[in-house]
Amino acid sequence: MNEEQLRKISERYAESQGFKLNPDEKVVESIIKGMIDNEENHGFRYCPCRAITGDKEKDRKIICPCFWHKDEIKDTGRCLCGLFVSK
Amino acid sequence: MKIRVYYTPFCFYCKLLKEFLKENNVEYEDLNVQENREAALEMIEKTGQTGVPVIEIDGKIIIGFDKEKLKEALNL
Repeated sequence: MNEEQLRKISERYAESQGFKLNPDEKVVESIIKGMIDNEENHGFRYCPCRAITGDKEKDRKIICPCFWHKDEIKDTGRCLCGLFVSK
Repeated sequence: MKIRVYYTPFCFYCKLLKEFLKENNVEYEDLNVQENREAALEMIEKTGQTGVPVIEIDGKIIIGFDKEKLKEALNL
């Protein structure tokens, strides 16, 4: 998967859930690149702003969209990495 | 001051934190928690969560890039 494809997937997901991609392009670019890097190196689109333990069961929670993203967006206006923000 | 920064290479807020430390001539040890399993587990144990950046300043933990908290903790 390339950056453009992943960006579109992320955009569609955000739209379907009632939030949006961060309007700060620098943040989005960094996160998309990070996810692709993680997919290449670790096999999964882990959130690039979370520690990878190496325990696949535990690390399931950090596959984007991560376990905490909705609560984070609700509480702070953005998910931890900043990819998704509230509208 | 003993300062450790737990970070990941593509985390935008980690970059902001490191830039801030550089601008203020603050020396620190940095730990990539996507490549260094030991550091990852250490950070999770200390903070109870998996997100970065995390900065530890003489045992005091700050999660996220928070300029005001950093200035206070670093006496800037």
